[in-house]
Amino acid sequence: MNLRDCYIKLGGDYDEVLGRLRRVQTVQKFVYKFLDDKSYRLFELSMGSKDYAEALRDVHTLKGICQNLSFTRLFESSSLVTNALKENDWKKAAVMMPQLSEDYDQTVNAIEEYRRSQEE
Amino acid sequence: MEKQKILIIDDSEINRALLIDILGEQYDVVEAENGAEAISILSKQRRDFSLLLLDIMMPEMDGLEVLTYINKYHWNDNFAVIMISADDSPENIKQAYDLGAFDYISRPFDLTIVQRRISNTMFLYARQQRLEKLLQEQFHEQEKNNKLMISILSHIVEFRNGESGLHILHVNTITRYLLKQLIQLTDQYPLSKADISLISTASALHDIGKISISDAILNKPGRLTAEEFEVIKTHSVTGANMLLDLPIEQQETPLVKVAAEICQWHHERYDGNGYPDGLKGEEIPIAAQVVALADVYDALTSERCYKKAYSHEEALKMILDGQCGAFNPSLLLCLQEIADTLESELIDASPEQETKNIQDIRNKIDYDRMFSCGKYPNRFHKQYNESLLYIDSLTNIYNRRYYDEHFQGADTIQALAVIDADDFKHINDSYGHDVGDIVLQNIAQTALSCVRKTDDVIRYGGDEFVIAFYSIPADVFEKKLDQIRDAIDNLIINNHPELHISVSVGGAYGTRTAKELFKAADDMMYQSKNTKNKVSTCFLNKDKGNTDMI
Repeated sequence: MNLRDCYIKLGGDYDEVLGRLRRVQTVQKFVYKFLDDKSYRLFELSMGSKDYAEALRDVHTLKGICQNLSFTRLFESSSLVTNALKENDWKKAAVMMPQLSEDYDQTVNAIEEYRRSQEE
Repeated sequence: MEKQKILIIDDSEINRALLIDILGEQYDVVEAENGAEAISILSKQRRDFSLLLLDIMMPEMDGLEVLTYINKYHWNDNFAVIMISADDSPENIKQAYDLGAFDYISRPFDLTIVQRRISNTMFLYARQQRLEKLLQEQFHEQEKNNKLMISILSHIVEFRNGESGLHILHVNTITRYLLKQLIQLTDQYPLSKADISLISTASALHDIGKISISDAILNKPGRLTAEEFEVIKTHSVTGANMLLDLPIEQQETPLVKVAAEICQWHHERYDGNGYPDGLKGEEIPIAAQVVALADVYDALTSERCYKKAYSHEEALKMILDGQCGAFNPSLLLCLQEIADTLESELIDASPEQETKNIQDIRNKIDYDRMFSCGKYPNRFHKQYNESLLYIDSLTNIYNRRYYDEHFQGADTIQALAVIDADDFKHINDSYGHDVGDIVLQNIAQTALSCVRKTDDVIRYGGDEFVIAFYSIPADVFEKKLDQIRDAIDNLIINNHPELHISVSVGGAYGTRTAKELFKAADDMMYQSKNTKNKVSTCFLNKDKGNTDMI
C-alpha cells in the first residue's frame, strides 16, 4: 500500500496535498501525526459533557487539520458539525455525530493500515 | 546573520508543526498554544519577534482578543501580525484587519504561498526598520554635534567662571525636564517637543554675558560689595546684546531669539524683584522663567567659590520656601514632580555620561518606574535602623508604624488618600498568595511612581495604602489620584496577563489634622467601593463641619 492508496481509502485528495506540501515525506510525517492528535477525542468528551463551546473549538480544530492534510471526507463531516454548533443547533450536531465518528475511524484505520504496510 | 523570530499561536499541535516544517529552516520559530500564553511570551520579549502568526479560534484567549490586547498596548509597532484563518470566516478577517492585522494566510497551507507571504512581509518590515534606524542615526549624529557645540561653549564660559564645568549641561537637563513636566501640568504654554528642545539648547547661552565681567569680581571668593554686585548684574543685558549684535538673518533664527530672551531675563523673579528690568509674572517669557529656576537649582546643588553644595532635598526646600526669590507656582509644582529624576540624573554626570544619559533617558525612566524603590535606598544608607523599623518588607514603602508615629496629630499634611485594592481576596483565593504579594508590590510601586518626592506612600495594612501629600494644589491632588487609579487599572502582572487589578480611592483635602483627613478619606474610599475602580474626593473647608463632596 502506498500513500496514494491510503488517501483513496480515507477519502482524501493526495494530489492536492502533495501539490501544497511538495514532498511525500512531509505528507507522510503529518499523516502519521494525525494518529496522535487529540482533537477528536476531546470533541467527544465535550459533547458528552454538553460543553458545546468547547466542542465547537475541538471540532473546528479537527476540521482545520483535515483541511491541511486534504482529508476531504472527514473535513466535510467535521465542517457540517462545526456549522451546526456555530448555529447553536446542538440536536443537529448530535444527529451528525455517528457519521463523523465513522469517518474518523475509517481515516484512522486507513492510516494505520498504511503504516503497517510500510513497516513490513 | 541572526534569524528573524516568528511566534506561532495556534491551539492545534499538528498545524503548528506544519508551519514549523514550512518556516523552521529560514526563521527562528517559537510556539504558543493559546492567546494567554502568547501574551505572556510577548510581555517579556516582544522586541525579539518580527512576526506573529495568529490563529483566530482558540481556547483561553482567542486570536481577536490577542489582537485587541496588542493593539491596546501598541505592541505591533515592533512586529507584523498575520492571521491564520479557515477561508469560511471573512467577517473575522475584516475584524482582524480593523484591529491592526497586517495580512492573513488561509488553510489549507500551501508551502510556497506561506513562505512567500511571510518573506515578503518580513522584507517590508525589515526595510522599514532599516529606514527608521538610519533616520535615528542621522538624528543622533546631529544631536551629537549640537551637544558638542554646547559643550565647547560651556567650557569657554565656565573656564572663566571657575565653575564646576557642568553647570551649563545641568541647566540644559533641568530645563528640559521642567518644560516636559510643565506641558503635562497645564495647557497655558503651548510648547511643542521642538520648542522644548530649542529652549533647552538655548539655555546653554544664559551666562555668555559673564565674558565681559572682570576676573577679579567674577571669581571673588568672599562676599561681593554692592558695586561689585551691580557689575555682575550687567551680564544679563550684555549677553542679550551680544546676541542682538549678530547679523540680522542670524538674529531672527528661533534659537538666537530665545537665547536672547533667556540671557536678558534669567535673573527676573515672578514677583518683580529680579533684574535687570523688574519684569513681573507672565511678562517674563516662559523660557527665561524656566532657565532662571534651573539656574538656581543647579547653583544650590553645586559647590561654588563662595559656598558649599546643598543636598537636593535642602535645595528643593529652600526654593519652595522662597529663599531664592519668587518663581512661577506652576514651575515650582513641576520641580517637585521631577525632583527624584533630577537627583539621579545630575549625580556624577560627566560630559560623556551626560550625552549618553540623553539617549538613555527613556530606558532609565522606564527602569525607575519598574523598580522605583530607588527612593528608599538612600534613606537606607542614612538611617539604616530607622528603615528596618519603618519600611514594609514586602512592598518597600513606609509601614503602619511609620504612619502611626509620624502622623498622629500632625497638621502639616495638605491632603491624604486612602487606597484599597478591589477584590483582593478573590485574587489571593484564585491565584495564590504569591501572586497576591506581587499584586501588592505592583500597586505600591505604581502609587510611588505617580507621586512626588515630597509625598509619603504608606502600606497601612493588608491591601490598604495611604498617601500623605504636602503643599499640593487641589486640582493637582485630584489629578494625581485619578492618575494612580488609571495606572493601576492598566497594570499587567507577569505571567498573568488576564488578571485585572483595580483600586478604590478616597481622598480628603484641607487644612486639618492627619486623623481628621484620614477619617474623611476612608469614608470616601468606602463610597468608591460601591462601584470600585473609582476615586471619590472631599474638600474640608476651614470652618469645621462644612464639607464639599465630589
